[in-house]
Amino acid sequence: MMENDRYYVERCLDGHPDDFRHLVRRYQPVLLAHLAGKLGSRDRAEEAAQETLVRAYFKMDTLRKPESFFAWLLGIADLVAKEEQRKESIRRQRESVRASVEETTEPELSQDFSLEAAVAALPEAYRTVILLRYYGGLSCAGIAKQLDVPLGTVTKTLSRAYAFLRDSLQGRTVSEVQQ
Amino acid sequence: MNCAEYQGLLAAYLEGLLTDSQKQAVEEHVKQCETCRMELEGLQTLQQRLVGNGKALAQSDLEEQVMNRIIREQSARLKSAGQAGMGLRLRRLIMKSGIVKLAVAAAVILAAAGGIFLWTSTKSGVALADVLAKMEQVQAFIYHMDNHMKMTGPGAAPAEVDVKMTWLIADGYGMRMDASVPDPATGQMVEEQTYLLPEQKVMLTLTPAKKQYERMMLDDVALQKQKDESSDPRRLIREMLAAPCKDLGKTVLDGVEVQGFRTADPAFTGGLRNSDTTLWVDVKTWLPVRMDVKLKVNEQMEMRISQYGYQWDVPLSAAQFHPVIPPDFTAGVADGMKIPAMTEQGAIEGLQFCIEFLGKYPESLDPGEMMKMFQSLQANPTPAMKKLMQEAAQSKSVEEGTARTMKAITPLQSLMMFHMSLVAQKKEPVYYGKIAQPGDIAQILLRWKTGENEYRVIFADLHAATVDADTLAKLEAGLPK
Repeated sequence: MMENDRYYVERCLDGHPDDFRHLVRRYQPVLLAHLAGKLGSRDRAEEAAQETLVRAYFKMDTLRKPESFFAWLLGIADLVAKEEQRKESIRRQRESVRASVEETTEPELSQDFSLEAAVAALPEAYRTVILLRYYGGLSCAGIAKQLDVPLGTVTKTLSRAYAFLRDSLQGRTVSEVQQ
Repeated sequence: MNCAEYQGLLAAYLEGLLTDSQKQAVEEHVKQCETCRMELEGLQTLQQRLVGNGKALAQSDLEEQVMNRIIREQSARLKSAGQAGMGLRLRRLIMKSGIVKLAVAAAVILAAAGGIFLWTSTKSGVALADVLAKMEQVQAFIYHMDNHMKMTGPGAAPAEVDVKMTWLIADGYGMRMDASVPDPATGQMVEEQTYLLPEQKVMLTLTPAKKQYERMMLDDVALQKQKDESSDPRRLIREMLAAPCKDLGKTVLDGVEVQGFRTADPAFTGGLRNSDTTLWVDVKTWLPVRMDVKLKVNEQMEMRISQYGYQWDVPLSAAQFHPVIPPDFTAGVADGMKIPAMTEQGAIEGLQFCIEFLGKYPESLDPGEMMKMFQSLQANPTPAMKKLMQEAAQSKSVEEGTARTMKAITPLQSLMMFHMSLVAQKKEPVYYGKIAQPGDIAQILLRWKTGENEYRVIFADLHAATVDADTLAKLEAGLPK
């Protein structure tokens, strides 16, 4: 049976590190999608996701609201990604990877970097909903509950996010779309 | 509705969140409207791409990698973790985990038992006999004792507890122990002094930082034990004399020429098979310089006890052994608790406790097995256990909860310690908990030797009797196979 984040966070804090497994399982795709888009490569994303999860585990006692584990985790992921980018001056590589992916007409299913990059480039509110819906396996109702917003807000946000993604995948940036 | 409005509904449509009439309206509209149909198809394609990407990312084997790294880093961090970090983890553990409470309780008992069993019985030996003779001339001495305990468990974060003690022992006055122990509530190291007060049958602990005192009650047997043997290193030598001991030869330790002795005899540590004790003696004075005991209670619990910094024949005054409780000190939660009695009666109460809490006798009285049994009892609590856990959880403070649990499991500690004492004294204890049926007046449950051709038996209905070897043989022959 799947419990909520709060339950597993408490379990970890109470000295059951093995229960962290459930949180890893739950957020692995989200983190990978989030990080792959930022870092431009699956290998780097995996490394960064690993680092993020390990850091999260050891910092768990600083998490004030266990129910906001997801947002907190993404915050750590952003930090890790920034460090990675600085370290590897990844930005250039990301551009080149993106370019190479766009050249291949049919990206491999497991290596959809252009999509991951588009997701990563979304404004935060839209990105969160996309990540939870497609990588966190939540329904719209589940997202509404997790983010504590009305269901209608979730579908509207999702709708806007789709628009951003499609524009982004067609080569336009979010800021251009917003203008 | 215009096209923009229809397009605004498409995301909800794809999620199946529209009402029947809205759904129908959307479907009707896209049949007729090319733009909106294209829009819907575009969204479906994007959705499939997102789903596919999500599935692909879920297949990564990050989970094992992360869990392995956490386990590795956890142990690395623990090694380098200072007292402060450990304190935090310890506090969290003690607060929330009943298992750890019990493990800590068991460990405290084992530390005490270890201290006690390290020093009993006599037999002739070679060099060690000289050491003992020499030590028996010493009137008063001080030494340090460090107790390090490490617990790991299935699904539990490793916990380490360090207790530092200084013992003052004077033949004419008694004993006193100054200790630095981690406070279960804060993890901070707290200083305390413990005095053995034989006239009042009390062990008194003063904790100045908390302005607190706690009096632990001793029964006659426990008192006698404490009085005679309280961590007096002289008992170590007596005990080592009785155990198969290896002479490690001479070496230099902290600039002093020493000779080493080593034993792994389980009787030496109350029946723990995984033990290793080393004693280093100054070759000039024949007095101990250092002693190390390593104990592995079970897969989950290890302990290291070190004694060092001996100061022989130091001037100690009577005042150092007579505590005064300052008027502004108040009684702590453990005040008035009984120290587990290592007596037959204590053991019987422990067995009764098992019937009440387990519904049966434990399969083994080995400390490691007993701990395991208690852990599984916590995982699948019987109604009696549930009640105990709830009571502890409802306590006003962490200390009170811990004290309650400790108090409740005292009979179990008595049982465990009594059995350990039988092993240590080589009284040939045999325990039949696996096959004994509670309540059976004729079935033997625990027996040990009390003299030539004389045994004491606790039966499965918990009455006890003294029998001769023939009767015992008949009783044991009648046991179910």
